[in-house]
Amino acid sequence: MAAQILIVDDELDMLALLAMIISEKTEHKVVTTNNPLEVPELIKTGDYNLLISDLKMPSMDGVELITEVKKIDNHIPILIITAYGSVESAEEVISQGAYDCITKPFRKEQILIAIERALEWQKMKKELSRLKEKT
Amino acid sequence: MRSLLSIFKKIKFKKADIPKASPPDGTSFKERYDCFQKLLADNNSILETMADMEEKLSGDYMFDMHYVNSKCDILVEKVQSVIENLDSLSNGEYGGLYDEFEKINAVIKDTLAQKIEIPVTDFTIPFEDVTKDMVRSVGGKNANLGEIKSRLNLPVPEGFCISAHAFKRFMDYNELGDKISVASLDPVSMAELTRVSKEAQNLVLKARVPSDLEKSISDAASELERKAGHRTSGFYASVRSSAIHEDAQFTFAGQYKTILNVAPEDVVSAYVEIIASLFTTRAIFYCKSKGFREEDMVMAVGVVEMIDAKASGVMYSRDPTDERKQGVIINGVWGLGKYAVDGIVEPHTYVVSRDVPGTILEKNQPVQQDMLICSLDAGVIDTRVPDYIKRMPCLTEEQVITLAEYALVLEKHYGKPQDIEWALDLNDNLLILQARPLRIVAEKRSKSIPRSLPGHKILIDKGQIACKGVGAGKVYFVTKDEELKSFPEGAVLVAKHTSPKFVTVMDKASAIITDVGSLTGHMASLAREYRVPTILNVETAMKTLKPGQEITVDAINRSIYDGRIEQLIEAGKAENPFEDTPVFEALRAVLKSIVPLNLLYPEDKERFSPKYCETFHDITRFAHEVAMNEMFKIGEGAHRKGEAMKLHVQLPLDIRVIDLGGGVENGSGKITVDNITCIPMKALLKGMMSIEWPGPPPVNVKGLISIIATTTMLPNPEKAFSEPSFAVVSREYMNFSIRLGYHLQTLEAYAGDSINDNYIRFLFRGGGASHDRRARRTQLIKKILEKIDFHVDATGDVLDGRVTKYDRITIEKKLDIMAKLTVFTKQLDMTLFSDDVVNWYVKEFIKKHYAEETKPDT
Repeated sequence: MAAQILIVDDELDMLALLAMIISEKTEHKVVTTNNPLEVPELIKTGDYNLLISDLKMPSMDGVELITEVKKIDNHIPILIITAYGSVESAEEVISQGAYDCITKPFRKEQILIAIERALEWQKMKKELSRLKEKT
Repeated sequence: MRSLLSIFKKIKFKKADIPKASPPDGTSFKERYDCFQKLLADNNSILETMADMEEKLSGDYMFDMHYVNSKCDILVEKVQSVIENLDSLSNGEYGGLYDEFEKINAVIKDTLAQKIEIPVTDFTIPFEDVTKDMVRSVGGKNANLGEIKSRLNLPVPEGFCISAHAFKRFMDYNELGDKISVASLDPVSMAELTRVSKEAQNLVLKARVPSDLEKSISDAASELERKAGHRTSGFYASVRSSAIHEDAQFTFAGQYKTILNVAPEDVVSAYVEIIASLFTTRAIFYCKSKGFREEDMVMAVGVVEMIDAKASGVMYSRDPTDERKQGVIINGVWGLGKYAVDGIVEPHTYVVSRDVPGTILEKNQPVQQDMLICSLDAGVIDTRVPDYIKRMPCLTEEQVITLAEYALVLEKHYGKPQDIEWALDLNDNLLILQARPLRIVAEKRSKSIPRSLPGHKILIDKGQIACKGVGAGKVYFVTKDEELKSFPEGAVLVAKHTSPKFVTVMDKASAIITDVGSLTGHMASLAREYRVPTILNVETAMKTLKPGQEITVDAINRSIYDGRIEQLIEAGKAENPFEDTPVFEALRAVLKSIVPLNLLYPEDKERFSPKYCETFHDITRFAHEVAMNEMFKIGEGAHRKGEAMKLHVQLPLDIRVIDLGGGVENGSGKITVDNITCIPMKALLKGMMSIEWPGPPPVNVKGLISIIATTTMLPNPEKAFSEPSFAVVSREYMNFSIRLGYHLQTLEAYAGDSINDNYIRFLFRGGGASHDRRARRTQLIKKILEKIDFHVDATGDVLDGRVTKYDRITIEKKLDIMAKLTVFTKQLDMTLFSDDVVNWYVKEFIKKHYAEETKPDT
């Protein structure tokens, strides 16, 4: 099922390439921004199933972003993309509540698999909370 | 690092001046072997890193500059270590490598840092004198706009550039280079970044524009006002950044400032504001994180007449979401284009046919409520769209068609789809404000290749892919180097082993297949550089394929098909969406100093030397080759060593063993075969003990006369039979000098876990019989060695054979055969009275000891 994905990366090339890969290989709708400060507002106003974010950005880093986004929407899975070799940051973002962390360089297929897993997880999480509400 | 390296060089060169230790003592054996092992490990690590970087060029990966920088750092460190270890191993014989290393390293650093020389030009240059080649003088944006004006004659606003040279004048005059320091700044620390940014911007904003520069800008602004006067009554300019890096290798889109609607007298102060934007936190972060040095942060500026646009917008010469669609897409809004670019209002959209000129395929003209306009006293303001136009199209059909024509002219000129900003002035003149490549054209075509194509015969479906792709052509076997000279255009190179020498035909080969080889070997690396589809370790290609046979090599699924299959060839043409990205370009540029191999022929003593090393690959290959020769020599000093242990073994040989570490268990006192843990030595001894050693050779009368005659010429005939044979061993390594009667053979082998390290070298010389018989024995050994895939050089009675890059088990098998060969040829020269006997013995040996391996694979 087509989902709506928000991507934030201050590097325009990376942003465009990610958007391209996702729209080329999947049916998901992609919204992009290179300004992390816009993300909380976008999350508030849009119905996103997944957020993909770079870790190191000048105005707000990925860890801060996770905290901000989680305040608005606790269900949305967040995939963080980190630079080559920064294993410690990967651990940190996971502990902060990111769903997964992908280290550059990565194969195109890797991000696509991670996206599908994250969406599946989000679906299950939503289903679970619906059932909880029922009971 | 340079100073450290120099100190190191001095120490090493001093060491080189000392006469070589002769004989080497036990410690130096160990030390040299340790150096050799480190060199092998570094060599592998370098080849693996190179392979990893080349793989990233396949288009299957996303990576960033941090990756490129980190990998280069690893290579620099490892190559340096290789040189240092070779230096120790050879007692400083190849000191010249340091100089070549430093030269290559400097090129790599410059490539990564994008070092830019600022050309000396006028402070201001009118657009009509600017072309696209002047990026370093006027920045990317200016160069592009100048090109459109000067070469394409399309309408662009009047304007001039304030050059990079002017920037240098401004910075030098105010000594800002010394005052602003971002060199030691950690870009991750936001607080520090903000502090440095603030300081730098303050310094720039308070700086004085030198009078010569100020005059030049004011004069150019007056001239611009005069030229553009016909268009507007009150002249205003837009002052835009045009950084030198901006449209070069890295994207800085949106990092720097643009000031709209500037009065002529304010152009100088606007210029200073734009220079200050070079030091915003965001811009510094980019420069630092992309590895630029502060001296490379250079800003040119464009001053363009402000178009008080009635309407403006953006157009794409192709649909960015589907390049197959044959339309030019034009977006427009009433007022200034910022609202169209930023998506603040829904723009009017037109799709114009690319095939049928003048045909508008689609139109969408929503009602526009708000627009951005130039205010009367400079600056811009948001206002309501007047009622009488808000429901009207912002462009006439004629204007739409003219814009589409401009888009196609621009696309044709630049050879790529274009993203263009346009404006319509108050006098209904259409103007091009900016053009840049339309970066992302999504590829929707599905070009997957099935694992096997129905209706086509697969000849081979195993091996390892060294370079992805599909190639087809006629099979051409390469068994000797000379055969490369007549390699046909478009053929498929098929060989038993990989060889870096294949690079000489890589521009002609449509694919490469070898039975044996390493994915991280020299040749695999070159195949990736030349993008020749390559499959290694196919095992049976030389037996299965026939010379001249037409085949299609699918180096995506590891399948080799009979015949030429156009469908596969077409599907294999990889299109790489990443190719145009700056980071991809940077990787490709830096690999030019890393991967190409110029040192192809070790036998060419003149050219196979440090001074011809132009890349890291050259240095590594040179060092690896030379290190193996240096290790080979260590056996020469072994007989002078007092600490050798006698090996008690049921062989007619007096073997003494020197352990470098891990080669002998309980390595003291009496040792037997069971104590040997050296992999190659164990394999060799096992082979030697598995067959019966020949007794005294049958000597006919002629042979007897021959040996007596030769023996009398030997200096000490009794000693020749009683001298011990020395083996220098470690767990993986063996250097065994075997004295058998009158001949001496040295057998060296490495059998470890990495196939790049593994080899056997066999040196054979001497003998007791006459020269012709000794020469026949050499020929006999050569023929047998070639049967088991050795590369052999034989001159007179000296033979040098080598086999490389097999897995450990195969090396052990080959050593087993070498053991049998050693026993088999013992004193055989006595009996080799004719060439026919040689051939008979070769057949006998192969039949008896090698039959298993020569059976065709099924």
